[in-house]
Amino acid sequence: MSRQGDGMTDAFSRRDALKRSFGAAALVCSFDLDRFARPTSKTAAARRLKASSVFEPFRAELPVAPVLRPVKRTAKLEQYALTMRDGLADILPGLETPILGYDGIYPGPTIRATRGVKVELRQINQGGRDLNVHLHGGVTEPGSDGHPMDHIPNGAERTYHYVNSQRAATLWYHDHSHGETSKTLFAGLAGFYIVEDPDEDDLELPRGEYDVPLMLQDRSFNADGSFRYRVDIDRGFRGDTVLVNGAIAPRMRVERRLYRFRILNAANARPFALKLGNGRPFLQIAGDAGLLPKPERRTVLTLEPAERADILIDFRSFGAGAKVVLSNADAEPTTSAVMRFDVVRGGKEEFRVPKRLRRMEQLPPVNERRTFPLNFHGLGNVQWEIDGLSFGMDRVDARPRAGTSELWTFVNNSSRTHPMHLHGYHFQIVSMNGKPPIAADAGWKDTVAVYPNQTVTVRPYFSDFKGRYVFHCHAAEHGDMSMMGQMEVVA
Amino acid sequence: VKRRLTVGAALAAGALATLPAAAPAATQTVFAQDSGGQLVWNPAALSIRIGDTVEWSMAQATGTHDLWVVPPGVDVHDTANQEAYPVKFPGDAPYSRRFETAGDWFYYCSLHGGREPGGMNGTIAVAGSGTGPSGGAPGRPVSNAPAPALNDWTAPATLEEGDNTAPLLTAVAVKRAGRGARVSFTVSEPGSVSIRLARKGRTVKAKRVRVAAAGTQTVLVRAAKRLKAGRYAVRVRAADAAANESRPARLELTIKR
Repeated sequence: MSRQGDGMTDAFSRRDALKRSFGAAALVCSFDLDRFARPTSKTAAARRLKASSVFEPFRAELPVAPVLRPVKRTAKLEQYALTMRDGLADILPGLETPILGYDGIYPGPTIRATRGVKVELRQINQGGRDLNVHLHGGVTEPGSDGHPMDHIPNGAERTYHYVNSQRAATLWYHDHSHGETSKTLFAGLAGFYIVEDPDEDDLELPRGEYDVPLMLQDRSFNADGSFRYRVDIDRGFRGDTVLVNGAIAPRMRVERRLYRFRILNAANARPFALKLGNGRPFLQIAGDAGLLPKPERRTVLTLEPAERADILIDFRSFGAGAKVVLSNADAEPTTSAVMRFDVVRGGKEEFRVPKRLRRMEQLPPVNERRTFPLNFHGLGNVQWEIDGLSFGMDRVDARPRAGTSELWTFVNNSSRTHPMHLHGYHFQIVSMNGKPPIAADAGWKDTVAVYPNQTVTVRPYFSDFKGRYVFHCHAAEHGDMSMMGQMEVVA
Repeated sequence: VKRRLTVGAALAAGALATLPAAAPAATQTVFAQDSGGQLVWNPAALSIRIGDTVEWSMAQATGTHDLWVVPPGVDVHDTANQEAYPVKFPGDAPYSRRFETAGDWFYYCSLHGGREPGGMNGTIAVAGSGTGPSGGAPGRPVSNAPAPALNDWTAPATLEEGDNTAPLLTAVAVKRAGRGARVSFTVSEPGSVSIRLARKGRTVKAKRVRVAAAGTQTVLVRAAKRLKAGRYAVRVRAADAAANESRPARLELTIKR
């Protein structure tokens, strides 16, 4: 694609040739030769050095995805349109990365919906494959949920209806086509969908440019700039580079004041354990499905795939000129830096940290208890299973009654974490390995981490719609292969 | 530089020279390992002789693996003609197989992309007695994937830079002085100190002074008019050059007629 890409190919083919002809001893010498070589662009070493520096963290400014403008808007309805198509992203300096994105951009545009105002989202599939759209965390009718078997054929389109009757929350939309989510999510199909509630305005939380969505993902790259995917059914994909809003470990200029960050782990399978600076405290104000009862102090924020957390950082605890790294404590050296905040003087503070955020709703009594063992099937064709079964499109695994709550217990009999996600409904965590959840996990959620050999009980509330939805592991490779079940909520 | 290369070449040549002409059957071990976040078989290329055994060890494994062995000439996607071994977990006993047929064998883990170039796979060249590798075309995947660009950046050494320490404000005292108040304080670093004199919640006088160096200083805060009798709240706060602010010191001043 460019000179740099060709250079990398040369460098690697030379190394390969050395490996084959001289063996390991000669290869060691080749590194020594490289070290003493003059760094001109003619040497493979210089080209390799140049290529590796493209991963330098804190060089890119944090991009923020554009907010999608409605095609039409009334007091009760907003209409949007998006086209799923190929595009090119600028991620590595001097190279272009082919992506599959909403409107051809990566990450996709942000939709800011308002509680009580319906959204009609017309999705046009020019992606070259069958696709669909799932609004993750959305309380939507089954026909608009993006069931894996309910796809939009390539070249066709579909209008999804979102009622937005739920409480304000940070949601996201992504492809959910059967057995393909790991690849389409990896290719770039993901965007924020934020539900805002005018009733929450008097909380005086940061807004506008001080309310920033952060989409965390990991990727690997080829020398030509393209994404490099490597199958890993066991752990799920692990890339060697962290991207925030599509930029390599970027930096962001922040004023000495209060900010709200809506953080989404949109990685295929990588967990994040986020730490601010040397362990500075920050406040978590929301989980997957909306505000917590009150702000909770965190020093480490763990996010498994598909989980979200809204946090407040008060940059007044840093001096002007300070540089503060947000890092992943659960990472390899190359994936340790997530982003950096560069602190500058700020104007007058107009926002505040409220003491109370919301009142938790009372749940109807428990109507049913179900247990779902999660296990790995390793004989012949390997796959992940729920209750000893892979996904069956004609099989319904649970039939909850509408308007009731149930207790669902996930028993992880494997050595991998399973972030279990329910479509269409939210739940509260009852216990994690026998203990009540920490306060920050006690709000409404739609995805819960079930760690290796642990047991988690959640209490879903089958509130609004009736019909067929899926529940599954959101480590994308596990869900695709084939850790997914179906529920049908009946009258 | 030249000498190093010669030594390396000599080492390589020496290693080749010491290979016995007809070695007794041996066992070679391949380890499932984590290499910078990617799960691999190591070493990925083995050369053995007919009758030798290969063990795939799980002793250093961090992941769950299976093993597929592809005989010479068999396509990597032709799973019906491959040997499949069940899944093993870290610490399990190794897979073990004796090789009786010369040729280029391929093997892989199906959980970790082993059927694709760059995935968790490896080769075993099985040589006959003294005849060198032979047999059909290797079963390895065609390497048509673009070369990777590996991120070899290191973790950031520092997670916080800059002046993030607020100045300390101590020994704050206030006295009546003429039309206003005399405020003394000690600050730990240069910057500025702001003083606010208020009565019944209303600011009577506010003043901000530069502090050139750490130490003790006295400031006269003079109101426009003579202070009325009553209780005054005095708030003193220090800021440094990076705008870090101290906790405010709150004092009271009572003016009597």
